[in-house]
Amino acid sequence: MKKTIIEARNLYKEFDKTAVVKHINFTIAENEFVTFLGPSGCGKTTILRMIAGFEMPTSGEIFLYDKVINDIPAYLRPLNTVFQNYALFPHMNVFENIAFPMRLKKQDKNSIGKKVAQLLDVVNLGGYEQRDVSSLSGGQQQRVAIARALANDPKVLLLDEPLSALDLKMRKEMQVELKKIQQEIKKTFIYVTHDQEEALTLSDKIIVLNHGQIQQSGTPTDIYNEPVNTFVADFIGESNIIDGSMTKDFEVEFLGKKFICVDEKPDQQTNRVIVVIRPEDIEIGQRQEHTINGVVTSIVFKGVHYEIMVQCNDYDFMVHTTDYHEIGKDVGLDFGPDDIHIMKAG
Amino acid sequence: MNKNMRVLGLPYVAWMLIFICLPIVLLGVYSFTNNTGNFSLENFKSFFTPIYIQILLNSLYLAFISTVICFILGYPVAYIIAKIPSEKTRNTFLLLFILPMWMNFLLRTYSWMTLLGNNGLINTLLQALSLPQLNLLYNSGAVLLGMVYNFLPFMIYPIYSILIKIDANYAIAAGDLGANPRQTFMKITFPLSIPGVITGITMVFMPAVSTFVIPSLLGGGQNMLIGNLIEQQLMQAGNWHFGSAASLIMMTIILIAMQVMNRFDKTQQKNMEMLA
Ligand SMILES: Nc1ncnc2c1ncn2[C@@H]1O[C@H](COP(=O)(O)OP(=O)(O)OP(=O)(O)O)[C@@H](O)[C@H]1O
Ligand SMILES: [Mg+2]
Repeated sequence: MKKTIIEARNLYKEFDKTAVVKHINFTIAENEFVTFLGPSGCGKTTILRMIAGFEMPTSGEIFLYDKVINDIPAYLRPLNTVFQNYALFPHMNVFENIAFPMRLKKQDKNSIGKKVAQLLDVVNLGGYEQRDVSSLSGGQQQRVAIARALANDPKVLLLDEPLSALDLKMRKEMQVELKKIQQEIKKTFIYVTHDQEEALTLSDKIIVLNHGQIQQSGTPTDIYNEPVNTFVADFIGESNIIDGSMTKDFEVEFLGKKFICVDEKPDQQTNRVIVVIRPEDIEIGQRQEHTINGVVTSIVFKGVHYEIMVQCNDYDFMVHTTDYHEIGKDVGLDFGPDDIHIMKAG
Repeated sequence: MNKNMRVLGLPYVAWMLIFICLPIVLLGVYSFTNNTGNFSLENFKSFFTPIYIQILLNSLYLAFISTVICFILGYPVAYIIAKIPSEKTRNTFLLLFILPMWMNFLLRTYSWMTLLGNNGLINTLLQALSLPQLNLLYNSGAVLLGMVYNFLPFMIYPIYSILIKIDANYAIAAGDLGANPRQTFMKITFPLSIPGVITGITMVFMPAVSTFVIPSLLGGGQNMLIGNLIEQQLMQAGNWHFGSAASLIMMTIILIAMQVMNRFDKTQQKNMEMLA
């Protein structure tokens, strides 16, 4: 079991009487890459700012190891932040920006010079010391911001959508790089994003948020394969979400057919349930006794796979497959018991 | 530029020719000629004599001191106003400092006379309290006071407008990196506000060097400054040639000062343009 470095207990924050973060609890272990993932306005930035010390919680505690840090001002917390807009100081060059935190600590010139060079190597910008920050590309500014945030050897690095200003290709490159940097320097990264793909790629642990509440937390595989509710299922990856009913465990009925599944009946009060099936878990082929039958209404090539819409009586299924099926074709949809995810109805 | 635009620009070109270029040409012509209309350096020669040099230095000195005082008073005011979170309150406070500017300049200066004079408000009050009277008017102190009072808003406003534009994230980032509030100000906020400081200094120094109303009203006859000298030569002595030469010298000094300031400003500006 890894040691917990950051913990939130009953963390609550309101702005002008509106609750933004609603009594949440989470723990973050040492050297973990943890991502807060959620739609715009769900309170991700607010949580990060409370950890950094820029924002005071309305109630609840934040722990660093076993000490409450609520009352410690930001400049005394051993945490550093990479800002979304980088916030590189415009009147300083790359060297001065990265040296800034070390200068404050009055470290000697030689060791500052060495450390800056070493940090620039880590972020793949060796030799850029004397460049004006304004002359750098977005991705390069981002790297300088990361190097600067690492200059104090923080225990935790906080990153608020650090890649959102970059174009897609650069973003992908930086994702790989970020993960590499994190593994190289062995530090805890707390990351904020609304991009589910980014979260799945980078994280050891994802905390999914909606309306200031934690929906689910776990490894990317857990979250993707076993979403606990329709919000998570819908937000992470594509999903077919269908109304169904269950009268007993391990059997579910939807779209007029009965299926064996691996879940128990989630709610004893009602038979109504929600069924989630991932588009890539569906096999598309001949109509058979046990398949759900429909007609192909559209097919779009997505690079690796086709995205096919199949209209079945009351529901339009989305299917991801590498096979081509022309529009208008009669098809049957097939899936196994463990492809069916059962969730409590509304 | 297309033809239509050129036609539209004509009135402004005419305006500039008549009201800016012509006076400067006349100034040049007058200062390099004598009473008989012949070319002469006489005016400049007579300016560079101890008595006039003294006036020039005195003007520069007073303008410098009043600029420094304006900066020391104006920067904190601009900073405090810029820090007010509510935009409405901010604008109200700014208005309070700018408001006196809407009153006539002469009126404002006259009212200081009624405050500082021998029979003025302050001395009457002192008298009522049976305290000795003070010589408040007609000295350099009164001139300085008048300059600072009149030109302070020119310092506050440009500094304020730069401070308000500085991205709050810079200060937050500095704090995050371990700078305490004092260090954040010294190493981040102040350096980033220097373009505003330079504009402020220029806008206070220039009118302070050339003013003649303030020294003649508050300084009395004893404290002649270059502005008074020019005014006196032109309006009273009728010596347009010497007055023009003095003007030209003053303009040259101001131009050089501005050039030096701009040099500063440019290096700053270059750094500011980024990340904006
Ligand atoms: N200083 C503030 N004053 C008032 N309301 C605020 C403040 N900061 C954030 N909020 C509100 O709190 C809510 C959550 O904001 P937050 O910035 O944490 O969202 P987010 O999840 O980071 O969203 P995004 O993905 O758009 O960055 C929003 O409704 C926002 O309007
Ligand atoms: Mg945010």
